[in-house]
Amino acid sequence: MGRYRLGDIVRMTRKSLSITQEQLCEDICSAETLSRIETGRQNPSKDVYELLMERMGRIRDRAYSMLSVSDFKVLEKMRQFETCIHIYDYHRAEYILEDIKRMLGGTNLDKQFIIRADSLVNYRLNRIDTDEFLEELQKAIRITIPRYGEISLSNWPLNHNEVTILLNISSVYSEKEDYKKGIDILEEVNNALKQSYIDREQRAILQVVITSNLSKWYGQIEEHQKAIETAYEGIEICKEFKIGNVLPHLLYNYAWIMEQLIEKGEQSPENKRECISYLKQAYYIACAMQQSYMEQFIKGHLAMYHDIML
Amino acid sequence: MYKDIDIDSNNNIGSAIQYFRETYHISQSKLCKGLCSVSTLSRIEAGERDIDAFILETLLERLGKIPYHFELILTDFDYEAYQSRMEINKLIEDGAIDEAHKLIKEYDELASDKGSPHRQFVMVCKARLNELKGGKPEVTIDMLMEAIACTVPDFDTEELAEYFLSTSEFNIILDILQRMISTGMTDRAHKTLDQIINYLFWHSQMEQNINIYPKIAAIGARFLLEQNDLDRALELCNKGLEMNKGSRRIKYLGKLSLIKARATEGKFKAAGLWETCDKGECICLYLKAYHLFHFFDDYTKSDRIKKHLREEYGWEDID
Repeated sequence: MGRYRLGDIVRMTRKSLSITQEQLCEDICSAETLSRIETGRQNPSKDVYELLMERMGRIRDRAYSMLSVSDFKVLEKMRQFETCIHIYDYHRAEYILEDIKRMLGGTNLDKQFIIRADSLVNYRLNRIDTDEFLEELQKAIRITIPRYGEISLSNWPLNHNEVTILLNISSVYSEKEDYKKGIDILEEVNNALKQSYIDREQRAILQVVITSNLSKWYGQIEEHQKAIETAYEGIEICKEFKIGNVLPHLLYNYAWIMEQLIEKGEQSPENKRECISYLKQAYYIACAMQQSYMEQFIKGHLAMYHDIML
Repeated sequence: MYKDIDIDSNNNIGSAIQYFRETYHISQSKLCKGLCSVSTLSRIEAGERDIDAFILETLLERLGKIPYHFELILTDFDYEAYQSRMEINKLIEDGAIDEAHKLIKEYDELASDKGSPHRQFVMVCKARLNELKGGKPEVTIDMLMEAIACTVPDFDTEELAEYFLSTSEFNIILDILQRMISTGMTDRAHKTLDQIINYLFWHSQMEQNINIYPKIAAIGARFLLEQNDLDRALELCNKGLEMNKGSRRIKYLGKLSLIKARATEGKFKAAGLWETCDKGECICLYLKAYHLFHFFDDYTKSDRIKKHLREEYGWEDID
C-alpha cells in the first residue's frame, strides 16, 4: 500500500520541478507554513493544497481521486480486464471494459484508465495502428502529468497507474524498433521508482518487468555491458522478493547476451558452460511456473544453439 | 482519521468496505468479528472519520483486497504507528532483541487502546522475540495463540470457517501450525490443518486464499508426507501448484516440487512398482526443485537433490 501524506506529495512534486519553497508558496501561504506542510507537522487546508498542486501543474484532485468510490466498485472488473489482457483474450477484455465504462465516474483517474484500456484493446485487435496507439497513451498520461514529454520523470512521484501507462508507451517504441526511446523512458521510470513511495514489494514487481525489457532492448542495440548489468539487477530483485513471472525471461536474456559476447570474441568460449546452466535454470523455472510459452521457447533455443535436448 | 481537511477519503473507504462486503454476501457481524463492534462497522460504512487505520486495513484485508490499490493518506498517529510497526519488524528480522523489545513496549503503551489489531501485532512480536531469545517453542505457540485470539477470540474452540480471515491473521495461524509440527504436537497439528483446509473449502471464492494456498500446501503436504499419508500429501501439493499457476509467486514452488517428487516416488515404491515404472515425471520434478533451490542459494537442499538423483536415478546431467 502506498502510504502518502499530503506533505510528501507536495515536497516530492516540488523537488521534481526544482523550485524553491518560496517560489511555490508565493501568494498561497507563508514559507513557514509550506515547510510545516512538507514535513508533515501541519495538514494543509484543501484550498491551499489544491492551489499548490495546481501551481506545479498537477491535476488538483489527483490525491483525492485515488480513493474515489467509483474506483472501488470497478476494481474487480479492472483486475478481470488486466487478466484478460494478460492471457490475450481481447474480446472478453472489451466486453468487460464496456461494463467498466457504465460503472465509472468521471474522475481523472477513471478517464486515464479508460483511454489506456480502450486504445490497448483497439490496438491488439488491429483496429488502430502503432502511431495512433502511442498518441492515445500519451493523451492518457498527460491527464495527470500535463507536461509529459517536456520534463524528466526521473524525480516524479509516479503512482502505479502512471507507471503502467509509461511501460505501455515504452513497449510501443520497442515495437517501432526505436529501442533507444523505449530505454530512455524505462530508465526514467526506474529512477523515479527507486525513490518513490510505492510499497517496496509492489515496486519490485514493476522493476523486474522494467529490467527485463531494458536488458532485452539494450541487447538489441548491442549495448552488451548495460544489458548484462540490467539483467543481473533484475535477477537479484527476483531473488530478494521471490518473484517468478519474469525470472525465466531475465535468465534467458542474460544467457543470450553472453552468447553474443562469446560470438564477438569479447568473452571466452569457456563461458558457454555458464550460458547453458543459465538456460537450463531458466527452462526448469519456466516449467515450475507453468509458463508453457517460455518453456518451449528456451527448450528450442537449447536444442538449436547448444544441441541439448531436454 | 482525517480531521483538518474536508475530504471524503475515509468516507470512501467506508463505502468500499460496504460495497465489497455486500458483493460477497458477508454479514456485518461476520466481517467485524473480533475486530470491532457491529455498530462501529456501521459507522465506518456510513463514512465516520476518526477510525484507526490499522482496523480499516484489517477489514479491507479480510475482504481480500490487495492493499496497494488503496493509497491511504494517514493522520500523524496512523503514519507513526505504521512506521513504528515497520521498524519493529525490521529490528526483529535483524535480531536486535533489546531495541525491538523497547520499541514494542512503547508501541504497546501508545496503541493498545486503539483496537485489537494493535494488540495482536504486539503479541506476535513478543512471540517472535521469545523465539529469537531461544525460549521454549511451547511458550511461543501459547503467545501466538494469544495473538490470534485478539481478533479471532474463539480460534481454538469454534470452527474457523465462521470467520473471514485476513492474510495477516492467516499467517499467524500458519505460524502456529508450523510450530506444532516441529514440536511434535501431531494431534493438534492434524486438527489445525483440517480446520484450515475446511476453511479454505468454504471460502474458496476469496482471492487472498488463492494467494496463500501454495504456502499452506507446502507446510501441510510436508507434514502429511512425514506422516506417510502420501495420497493426501499429493492432493494438497497439486492444489497448491494449481493455485500458483498464472501468478508471479515462486516462493513455495521449490518445496512443492520436492514434496510432489518424494510423494510420487514413495507411492511407486509402496506399490512395488519402483523397478518397472516410468521415472521421467519424478526426475523432472526433482530437477525443478533442484534449480529453484539452487537459484535461491539453498545449496544444502539442492546438493541433497543432486545426490539423490545420482544415487536413485543414475542421473548425472544436472547443470
